[in-house]
Amino acid sequence: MSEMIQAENLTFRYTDFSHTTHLALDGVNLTIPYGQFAAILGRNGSGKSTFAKNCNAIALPSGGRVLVDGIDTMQPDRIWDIRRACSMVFQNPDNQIVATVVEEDVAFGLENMGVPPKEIRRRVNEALRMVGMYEYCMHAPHLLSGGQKQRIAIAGVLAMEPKCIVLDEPTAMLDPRGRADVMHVLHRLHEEKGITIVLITHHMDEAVQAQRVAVLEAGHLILDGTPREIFVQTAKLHSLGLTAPQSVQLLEALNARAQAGLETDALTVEECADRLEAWLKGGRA
Amino acid sequence: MLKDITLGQYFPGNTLMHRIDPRTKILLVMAIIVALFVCSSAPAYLVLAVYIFGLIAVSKLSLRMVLRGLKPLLVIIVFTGVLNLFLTPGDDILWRAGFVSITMAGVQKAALIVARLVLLIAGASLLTYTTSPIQLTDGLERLLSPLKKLHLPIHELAMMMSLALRFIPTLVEETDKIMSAQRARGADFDSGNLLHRAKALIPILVPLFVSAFRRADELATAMECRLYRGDTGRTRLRQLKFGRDDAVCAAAAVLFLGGAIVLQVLV
Ligand SMILES: Nc1ncnc2c1ncn2[C@@H]1O[C@H](COP(=O)(O)OP(=O)(O)OP(=O)(O)O)[C@@H](O)[C@H]1O
Ligand SMILES: [Mg+2]
Repeated sequence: MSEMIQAENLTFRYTDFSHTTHLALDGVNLTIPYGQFAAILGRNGSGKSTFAKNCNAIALPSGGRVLVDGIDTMQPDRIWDIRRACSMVFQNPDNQIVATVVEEDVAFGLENMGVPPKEIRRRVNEALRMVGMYEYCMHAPHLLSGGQKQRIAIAGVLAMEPKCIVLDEPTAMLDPRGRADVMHVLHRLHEEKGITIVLITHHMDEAVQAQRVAVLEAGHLILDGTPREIFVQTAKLHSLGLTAPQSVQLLEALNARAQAGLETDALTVEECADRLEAWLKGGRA
Repeated sequence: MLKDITLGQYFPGNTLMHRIDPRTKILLVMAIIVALFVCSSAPAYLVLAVYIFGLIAVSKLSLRMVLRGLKPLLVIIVFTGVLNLFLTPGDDILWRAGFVSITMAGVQKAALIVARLVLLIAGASLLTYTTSPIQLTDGLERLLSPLKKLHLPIHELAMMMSLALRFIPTLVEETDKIMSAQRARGADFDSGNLLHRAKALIPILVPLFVSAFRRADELATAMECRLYRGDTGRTRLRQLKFGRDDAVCAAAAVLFLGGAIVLQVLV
C-alpha cells in the first residue's frame, strides 16, 4: 500500500543567479503514513521549507524521488492530482488570501477545481464551521486578526478535501491566543477528518502535541521518532539549535542538583507536575 | 493618515440596487452617462435628476455621503461653471462690468454643465457604493467575455483587478509601517520643497517594492497550491443571474431615460 508522503533519498539543489548551487536537502528518507500528525523541526536554513515544497510539487527533486499519495511528483501530468491530495498553508496569512470576502476566499480552490456552485457553497460552509469562522463568512479578511486569517487560509485548503495538509510555520506570526486556536483546529482536522498533518514549526510546545517528530539539520534527517523519544535528548537537541520543553529541562536540572533520579520524559506541564508530586510525596515518606 | 483611503467605497446593504446583477448596474450607469450627454434641456434634466436621486433613495445611500463624493471634484465643477458663466457670448446681456459680462445663454450653459457633472458623479457613485469590488470585476469579466474569442486576456485582467483591490489595504498598512519606521530614524516627509519631499519618498518606495514582489511571489505559489490555472474549467461560488429585480430596474431605466430623451427631442 502507498504512503501519504514518501521521500526516497530526496536531494534538492538551489541554483542562484551566479550559478553556484546550494544543497538544501541531501539524501532525505522520510515516510509519512496516512493519518499521521507529524512535526518537522530544525534550525533556520535546515531545509524544512524546501522539504515542504517538495511535498506537493512546488519544487521538484534534484535527486531521489517523492511519492505523494502514491504518485511520483516528477510526473507533470499528475501535478493537479498531487496538489489536490496534499495542500499547503504558509507562514504569512496575508500573502495567501486572494479575495476581499472570507467566503469567496475559501471558495477559491473549489472554483479552480470546477466544483458546481451548490457543492461549493456546501463545502465552504462546512470548512468555515470546522475552523470556527462561520460567523465571519461575509467579513473582509484584512480586518481579521492573524490567527483568524490563518484559520481562513486553513479553511481554504480544507474545502478542497485534501488527504494531507502541510503547514510551513503557520503560527510564526501569531500571538499566543492565535497559535492556540490554530493548533486546536489542526487537532480537530486530524481527529475528526483523519487528515494527515505535517506541521513545520519552531515551537516545541506545538511539536510535543504531534505523534511523530522529525528533525532536519543542514539538509539531513538527523532525528526521527515519537516526541517522547526525541525530547529527552536535551544535549543532542541543543547541538541542533533546538531546546527541549521546559518541563524536561526542569526535571534534568533537578536530577543534576538533587540527584532526584527522575524520569525526564515529561513533555507537558501536567506530566511534570505528576512526576514532581510523586517525588515530593516519596521524599516525605 | 493613509487609512483614510478607501478605494471603490462599497457600502453593504440589501436594497434593490444591491441585489441586482452587477452587469445590469454597469449597463445602467453607462446608459445614464449617455443620457446625460444626449440631453441638454431643462425638462429632460429634471427627469434625469428625479431618476438618479430616486435610485439613490432606493439604495438607502445617505445624500450627504453622495455629495461628499463631489468634494474632490468641486474645484473642477466650480471652475467650469464660472468659465461658462462669464465667457459665453450672447445678445441677452444680464450684467456687464468692463469686458466681462453675463448673458442669459451663459447662465443656461453654466447651469447645464454643473448639473451634468453633479449628476454624472452621483450616477457613477451609485455603482461603486452598491457593488462590492469582487462583484464589479465579475460583472466586467462577464460583460467583456465575448472579447475572449479575440484572445484578449479578459479573465486575467479581471483577476489582476480583484487581486489589486485585495492588496490595497495590505500595502497601505505596510506603507504606514515603513513610514513610521523611517520617521523613527529621523526621516522627515512633511517639510521642504517638492523635490525634497519626493526624495524623502525613495526610502519608502524601495522597501515597499521589494516587499510587494516578495508578496507577489508567495501569492503566486499559494494560488498554484490551490489549483489556480487560469480560466480553464473554472466555476464560481456566486453565479451571475438576471432576475426579476433586474427586469424591474431595466423597465424603470427605459421609462425614465427614454422619457428624458423623448422630452429632449420634442420640447
Ligand atoms: N530560493 C533560494 N535560492 C537559494 N538558496 C535557497 C533558496 N531558498 C532557500 N535556500 C537555501 O536553502 C537552505 C534551506 O532553506 P529552507 O528555506 O528550506 O530552510 P528552513 O528550514 O525552512 O528555514 P527557516 O526556519 O528559516 O524557515 C538554506 O540554506 C537557504 O539559504
Ligand atoms: Mg522555512
